[in-house]
Amino acid sequence: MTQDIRLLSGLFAFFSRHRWVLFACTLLVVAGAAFVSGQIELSENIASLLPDDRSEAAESFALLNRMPFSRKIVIQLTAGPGTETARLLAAGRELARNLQPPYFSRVITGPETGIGLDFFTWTLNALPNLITETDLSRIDAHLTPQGIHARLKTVKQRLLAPTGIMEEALLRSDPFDLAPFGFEKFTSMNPFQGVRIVQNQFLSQDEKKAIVLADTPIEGTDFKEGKRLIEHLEHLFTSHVPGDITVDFISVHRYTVANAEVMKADVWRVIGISTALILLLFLIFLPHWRAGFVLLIPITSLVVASGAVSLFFSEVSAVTLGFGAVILGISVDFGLHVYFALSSGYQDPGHSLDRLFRPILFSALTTIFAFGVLLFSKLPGQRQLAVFAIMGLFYALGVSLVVLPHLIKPLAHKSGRSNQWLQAPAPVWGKGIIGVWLCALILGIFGIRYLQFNGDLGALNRVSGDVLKAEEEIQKTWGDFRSKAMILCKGSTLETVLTQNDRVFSLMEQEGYIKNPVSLAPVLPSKVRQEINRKRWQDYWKNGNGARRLVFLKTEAATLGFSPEAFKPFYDRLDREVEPITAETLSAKGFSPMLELLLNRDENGFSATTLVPDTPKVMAGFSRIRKILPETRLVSQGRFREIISGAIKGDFKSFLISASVGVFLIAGFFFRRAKRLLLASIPVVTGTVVMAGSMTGLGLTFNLSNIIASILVIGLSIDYGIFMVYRLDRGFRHQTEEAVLVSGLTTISGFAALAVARHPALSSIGLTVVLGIGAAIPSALWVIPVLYRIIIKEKHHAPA
Amino acid sequence: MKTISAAFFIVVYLVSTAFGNDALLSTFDRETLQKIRRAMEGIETLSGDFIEEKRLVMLKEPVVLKGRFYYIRPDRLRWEHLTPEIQGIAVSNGHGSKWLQDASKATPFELDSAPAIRRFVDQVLSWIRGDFDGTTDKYRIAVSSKGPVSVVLTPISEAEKAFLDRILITFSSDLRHVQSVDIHEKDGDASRIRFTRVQINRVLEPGLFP
Repeated sequence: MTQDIRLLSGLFAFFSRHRWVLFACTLLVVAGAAFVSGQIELSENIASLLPDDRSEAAESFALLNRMPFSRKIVIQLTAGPGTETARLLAAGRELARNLQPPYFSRVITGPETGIGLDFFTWTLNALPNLITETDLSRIDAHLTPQGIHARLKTVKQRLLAPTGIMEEALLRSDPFDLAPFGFEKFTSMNPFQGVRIVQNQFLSQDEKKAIVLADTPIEGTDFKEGKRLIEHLEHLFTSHVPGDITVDFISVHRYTVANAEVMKADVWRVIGISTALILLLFLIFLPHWRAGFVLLIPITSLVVASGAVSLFFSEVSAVTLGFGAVILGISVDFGLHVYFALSSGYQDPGHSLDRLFRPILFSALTTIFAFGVLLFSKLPGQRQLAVFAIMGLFYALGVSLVVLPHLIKPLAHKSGRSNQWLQAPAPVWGKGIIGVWLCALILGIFGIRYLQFNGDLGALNRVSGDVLKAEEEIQKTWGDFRSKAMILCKGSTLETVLTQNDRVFSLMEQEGYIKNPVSLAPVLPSKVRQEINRKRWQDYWKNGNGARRLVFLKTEAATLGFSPEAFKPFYDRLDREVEPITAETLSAKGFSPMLELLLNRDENGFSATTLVPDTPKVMAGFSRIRKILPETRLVSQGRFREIISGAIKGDFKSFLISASVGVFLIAGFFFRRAKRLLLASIPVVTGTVVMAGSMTGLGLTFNLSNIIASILVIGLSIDYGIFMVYRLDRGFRHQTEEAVLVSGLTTISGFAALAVARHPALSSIGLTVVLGIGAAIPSALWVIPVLYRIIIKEKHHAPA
Repeated sequence: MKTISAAFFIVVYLVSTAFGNDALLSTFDRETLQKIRRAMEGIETLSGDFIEEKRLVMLKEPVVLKGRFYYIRPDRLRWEHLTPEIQGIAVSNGHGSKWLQDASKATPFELDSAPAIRRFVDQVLSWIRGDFDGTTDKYRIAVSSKGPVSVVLTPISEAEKAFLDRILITFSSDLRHVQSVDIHEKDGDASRIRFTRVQINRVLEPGLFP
C-alpha cells in the first residue's frame, strides 16, 4: 500500500494562517481570467466542427463548398391565384435588382439574352460542331421520305398560319427541323427540371413559380452574418415583392441560423433544468450553505478555462464555449469528494486531504488525459474543446484541493447519515448483482456489433418545419439540384479540361446509368472534338445519306408547291465554313450564368463540373470511370458522409483506444496492482459497453458528438473506479460512496437535461453520457465491492 | 363596303408615332393623320372578314387565304383563317389559344412564352391602344394618296429594314377603318389583305376569346 503524500496537509496548514492571501490570489486569477474572457473574439462560425487538415474529409468538404449551389441562395417566387405571369416575372426582376452588395455579389434570374430568331440561327450555325455520331444517326433516322414529306407539309402549314410571316425565315433555314437537335444540347446545361425560359427568366412548367439565384460573400457557416443576411432578405421580400406573390428561399445560412437558434434556446433550457436538478441534489445530499462553495467551482472554472483558451486561440468558437460549459459541470466532482471527506469530520482536514490527494489527482489526470486525446483531433473545435476542458479541470483540481478546504467546516451530525443502500451488498445479493452486471455487459457487447456510425452532418441538424417545407417545395418544382454529386475534371489548360469532360460525358452515355447529367460537354466540346464533329457533318451531307436526303427534299418540295428558292438559306448554310464554339461565344449568347456553374478558372488552371444524381448506382458507375480517367474526382454529399463516417469510426477507435490506454496507464501507476486496476476499470468498461450497446438497442447511430460523450464516459467512469477501489483498500467511511453517487448524479442531471434538448447534437451527447454514466455508477457502487471481496479476498478495513 | 384590318391598327400606330415626330411630317400629312385618329375615336369592338393574297418566295404559286377577325378593347383579339385550312389564334389578357382545323380543340398558351405570336399580337394591340412610344423610331410615314387615303410606311430601323421594304395602308372613305394593306418584304414576298364586312362596336361574344 502506498503511503499518503503529505503535501496538502502542509499547504492547508500554511494557508490556514494566510487564508486571505489564498482567497485574494484565487479571486485575482478568476478576475484576470474574466477580464481576458471579455476580450475574446467569439466566432459563431460552425466551420470549427469540420476537419481542417489535409485529409480526404477536409478536402472533400472544401470541394463540397465549391459545388455550384452550395453557396447560392435559392429564392422561389410563387404566384397567387389570379396573379399573371407578367406580374410574377416583374416581381422576380424587381427583387433581383435589389439584391445588392454587401450581402449579394451576383444575381441570376435566367439566361442573359433572349432565345429568339438570333439564337435559333446561331444554333443552326453551330450544329456541325455539336452533332455527334449518335446524333447524326438519329438525324438520319428522322429523315425518312415519309418524315421529310410530313415535315414539308408542316412547313407549309406554318407558313400560311396567321403568324407565318414571323416564322418564314426560320422555316426557310430549317426544312428538316434540325434545330431541336441543337436545342436539346443546351438542356444539358440546365440544372433545373422542367424549367421554362420566359422573357429571359426561369419559370416553372406551369409558369406559376419563378426562381432567383443569388451569390453571397457570407460564409454559410457564419451564424452572426448569416442571421443578418436572412433578416435583410426578409426585409427585401416585404418591401419589394407584391402581397399576392409568396416568397421562399433556401440556403446553407438558413440551416446554420436555424440550428444555432435552436441550440441557443436549448442552452437556456438545459441550464435551467440542470441547475434545478443539481440544486435539488445538493439539498438532499449536501444540505448546508457551505456546499454552495462546491457549486462555485464549475462556474469559476468556466471563466478560467475561457480566459485560458483565448491565450491559445485567436478566435474562440461559441460552440466550444457552449459544449465546454456543459463539460465543465463535471469539475464539481473534485469539490464533492473534498466536501464529503472534510465535512464528515472523522479526521483533521489536513489528514483527510492527504488521503484524498492521490485518488483525486489521479482521477483528474485520467479525465484530463481523456480530453488530451482530443488535442489530436482533425476538428479545430474539438482541439479547442480539449484545451478548454484541460485548463478548466486543472483549475478545478487546484481550487478543490487548496482553496475549498478552507471554506468547509466539519458537520457534527454527519456520522449517522450514510445510506444503507450505498454500502457494499451482502454476498447473497452480490451474486445476483454480478449476474445482472454480466447480462448487461453481454447484451451491450452484442449491441456494439451492430452499432452504426453516421457521418451525416445533417443528422446533427435541427431544422424547423419552415426550412424543410421550403426545401421540399423548391425541390418539387425545380428538382433535386442542390444535392447533386459533382464530377470534377481539372487541368492546366481549358482544352485539356474540356477533352476530359468530353470523355466523362461519353463514358456516362455508354454506361447508360446516368440520365441527363448536367454538363458542358454537349455544348462546349473540346476543339478537337468539334473538328471531328464538323468533318463528320460535312461528309454526311456531301457524300453520305445526307446527300440523298437533299435530293429527295428538292423533288418533294417541288411536288408540294415550294419554289426552287424556298430553302436556299438552308443549302447556303451547309456550304458555309463553321467557326468553333468557345466559352466566349456561349457567354455572348447569354449563357454566362450556366458557364459559371460548370466551368471554373483559378490559379491552378481550369476545372469543369458535371452534376449527377448522388446515388449508390452513380457512385459505382463513377468508380469505373475513375479507372479509365484517374484524374477525375467525384464530390458528393453521399461520399462525404461515407468519408466522415469512416473518420468518426477511425476517431472513435483511436480516441477510445488512446483514452483507454492512457487512463489505464495512469490508473495502473496509481494502483500498481493488476487486480485493483481491473476492478477500477469496471465502471469504464461497463459505461462504454452499455452506452454503445444501448445506442443500438434504442436505434441510435454514433455521430460526431458521441465521440466527446465517449471521452467523458471514460474519463469520469475511471474516477468512480479509482475512488471505490481506493476506499475499499483504505477503509474510508461511506462518504466515498456518497461522493461517487452525488458526483455521478450531478453528471447525470446535467446530461439528462441535455438529453431533452431539441437539438440532435446536444440531445445525442446528453443521452449517450446518461446511458454511460448511468451504467458506470451502479457498477462502481455495487459491482466493485462484490468483486473486490471475491478477487482481493481481503477483509474490509474497519472504518478509520 | 366597310373594310378594316390589322393594317388599320398599323396605320393608327404609325399616325401616333408620327405625332411624336412632327418635324418629319408635312402639314398635309399631319392633318390627314389627325383626321384618321379622330375618326377612330370611340371604337370598342371590331369584327369582319378578310381575304389575304400572298406571293411568297417559298411558294411557286400565290396563295389566297380567307378568314375573319374579332377585337374587343383593350386586349382581346381573335384572328382566324377559314380557307384553305382552318387555323387561328385568340388572345386575352396575356393568355392565348391556338388551333388547327378545329377551334374547339384549341391549345392554350401564355403569350409571354410564345415570342412569334406575341410579336404579332403586341403590334396589333399596341396600335389599338395608341401605345406607340416604344416603336417611334421604326418607320417613316407619308401620306401617298388623297382619295382613298393611303399611308406608306418605310422602315428606318435596321432590324425592320432587314426584311421589310414598305407597307401601304389604304383607308375607307370615312377613315374609320382600313380597306387594304399591302406588305412588301425585302426577299420579294408580298401580301395584300383586303377587309370586308367590317362591323364597328358590334356586341361580340366573350366566348370567342380565351
